[in-house]
Amino acid sequence: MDFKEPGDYKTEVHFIGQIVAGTQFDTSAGLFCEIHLEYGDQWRELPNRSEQGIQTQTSYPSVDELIVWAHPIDLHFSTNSIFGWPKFIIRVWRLDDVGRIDLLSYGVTALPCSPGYFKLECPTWRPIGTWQDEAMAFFIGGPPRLMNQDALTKEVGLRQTLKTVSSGSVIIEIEVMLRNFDVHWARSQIN
Amino acid sequence: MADLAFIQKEIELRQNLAGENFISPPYNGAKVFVMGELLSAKDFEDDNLYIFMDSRLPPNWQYNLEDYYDPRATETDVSDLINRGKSVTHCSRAVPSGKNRKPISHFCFPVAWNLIATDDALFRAWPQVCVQVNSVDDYGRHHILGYGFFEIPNTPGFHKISLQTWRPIESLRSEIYSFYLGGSVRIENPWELSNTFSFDEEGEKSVVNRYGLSTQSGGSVQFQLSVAIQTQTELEKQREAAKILIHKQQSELVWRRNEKKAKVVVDRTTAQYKIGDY
Repeated sequence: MDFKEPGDYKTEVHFIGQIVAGTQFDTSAGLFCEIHLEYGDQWRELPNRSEQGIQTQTSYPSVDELIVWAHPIDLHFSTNSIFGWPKFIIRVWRLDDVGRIDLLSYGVTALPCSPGYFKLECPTWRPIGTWQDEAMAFFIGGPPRLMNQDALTKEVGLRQTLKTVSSGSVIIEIEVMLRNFDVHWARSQIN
Repeated sequence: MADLAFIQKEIELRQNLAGENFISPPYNGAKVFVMGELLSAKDFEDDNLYIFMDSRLPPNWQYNLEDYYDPRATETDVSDLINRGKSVTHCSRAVPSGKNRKPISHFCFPVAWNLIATDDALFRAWPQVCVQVNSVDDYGRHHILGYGFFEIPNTPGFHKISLQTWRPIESLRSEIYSFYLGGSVRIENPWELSNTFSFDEEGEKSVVNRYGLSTQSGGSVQFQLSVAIQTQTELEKQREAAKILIHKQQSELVWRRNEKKAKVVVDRTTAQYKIGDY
């Protein structure tokens, strides 16, 4: 048997891929995407926990309304539990001609837990207010946004009081690699 | 004996190198993790949709409350078990999108079912999810646009589910009433839809017969789920194999020792005999 280093049986997960593009955002302004990670207590991000989220450059739509970001993602986790599998919390921001930065939409996507290549399409939305708010957002900018960010993932019960409008979707391509999960009898793939 | 040494070495290495920290499922049971989203709803007649989602567990399944502390778990009111038992999404206004400019309501509502099942239950019925799609308009009139259900996919991996829905129609009068004043014909217990057989008045089991029920098709609801299953059967197998091997080894040792003893006794007696003879 080969010589094993300490930690050789630690369960590890790699997420490698890119934030490819945004589609169907009906706007001609530049958009950028901000992604924060959320994961359980038993999870550890390697080598260090990143306090800042992933943020893409500002991209302007092409002729077919495709906003290409092509921003790389390379994440590495070690874990003691399957519970609390990482999630992406996505915020899409808009930069218009005058230089105002407005929050355009929110989205949440859970990362897949089986090894392989996945193309995730995350539909996004933003809250709507009264018609005054909407009128102000149209002329002056500053559309309504969430006061309590817990409504995204932690307390989804808060969402039943929300009214939202659909926005575009964000396309993420990701490859998942698992290590040593079979040692702990966690099956996430058909044998 | 190489097998036993290998297995023992594996167990020891795992304990030393990875520790026993990894949260393992209960004895003779499995943990099932279902995570994903309710993505979107499309092709419905009306705008401003919101969705009720409900899950039902077959016998020997239960919600997993061990891994994390959840204050909602101790509350007695079932409607407070948001995202475990019942959930309500936000109300979403659709915008035309896609190549043929069809309106799609985006929800992106995270779902997470963490379940514990016994080993036998894994091979029987799996939990079901029931969905009711509603709409509300500017005057506060609510309509029901569709009912649908699906069983949580019982293979681990990544699944995309498109759920088709329908709603019952009673009569033209009720449709007109619903159009002007809101309110729809509703199904009292949506779980009746997912039953594959029913009991008639005499208590006899019969197949589901929906003759005479007229329905209107609704749109579809998109789900995206990843399923992971963690069982201890493999661990148990390994442990049992080790136990059997150890037992065999021990019994062999005992047998050898006895044989040796017997030999020694024989030798001694023969020796004494020899001495006496000598």
